[in-house]
Amino acid sequence: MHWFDSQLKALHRLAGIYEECRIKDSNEFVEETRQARTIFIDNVQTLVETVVKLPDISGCVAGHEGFILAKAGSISGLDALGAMIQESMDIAQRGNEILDLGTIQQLLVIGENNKVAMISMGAITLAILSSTQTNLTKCLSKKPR
Amino acid sequence: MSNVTAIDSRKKSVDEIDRVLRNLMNLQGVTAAAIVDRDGLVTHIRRNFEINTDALGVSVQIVFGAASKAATHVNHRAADIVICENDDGYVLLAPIMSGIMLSLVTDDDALLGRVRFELKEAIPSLKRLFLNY
Repeated sequence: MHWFDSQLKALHRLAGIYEECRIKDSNEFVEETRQARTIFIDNVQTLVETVVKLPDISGCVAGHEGFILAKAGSISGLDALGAMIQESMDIAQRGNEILDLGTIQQLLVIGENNKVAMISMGAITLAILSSTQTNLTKCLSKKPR
Repeated sequence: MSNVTAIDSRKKSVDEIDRVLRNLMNLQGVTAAAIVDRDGLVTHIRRNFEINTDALGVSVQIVFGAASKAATHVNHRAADIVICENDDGYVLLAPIMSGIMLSLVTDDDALLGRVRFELKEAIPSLKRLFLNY
């Protein structure tokens, strides 16, 4: 399986476990919820740090409600990036209503110099920054050494 | 007999509150986590630097009170989280219940999104603990 896909699948599973804990959140499940959250967030942090080790990837962040939750690589304007990720996903979600796309899973913004891929992960959005020329599919297919 | 149970239960709650604060302190850049009661007194605190708890407690209540007033004036109902962005870090304030507040102090190394995320997650747990306090 494609390396990054397998990582996303694992993260989606952890996000699901965490969400389940949140739904049944009560006195009995406080510790369980805390553990599920810690595991999920720690895995997000690990993925962000691993992705940035891949060749041609300049930065990777995880955003939550417009704020940056985890980051790796050289990123300037962190606050602005957090806001941009949130706005982009919101706008795409609005497009969904017109085009019947379903819940937005990924969004790719390509500029003349650089591009950013945004991947929805429950309440969190992952953003991978690279140069426009980078082939992300190829780049993310293998685990970095 | 019932008094002994109550003390045990309170001790357990204190330990649990302390555990929540300890977990918040484990976040990158968080230098203090405090619970402030409605009178501006710090009832529980974890910190890794010397801090004037009296001044912190009073400031928390004043700042949050002012933010709540501002929210009311612009028809935003209740204030949920107040974030003070300073030269060397952040101070985040969030109400737990009945005027009791959670305050987090960070240095500029902290990732605001992570601290805010964990703060929001900690509030329901603290609310439950203070209900039985």
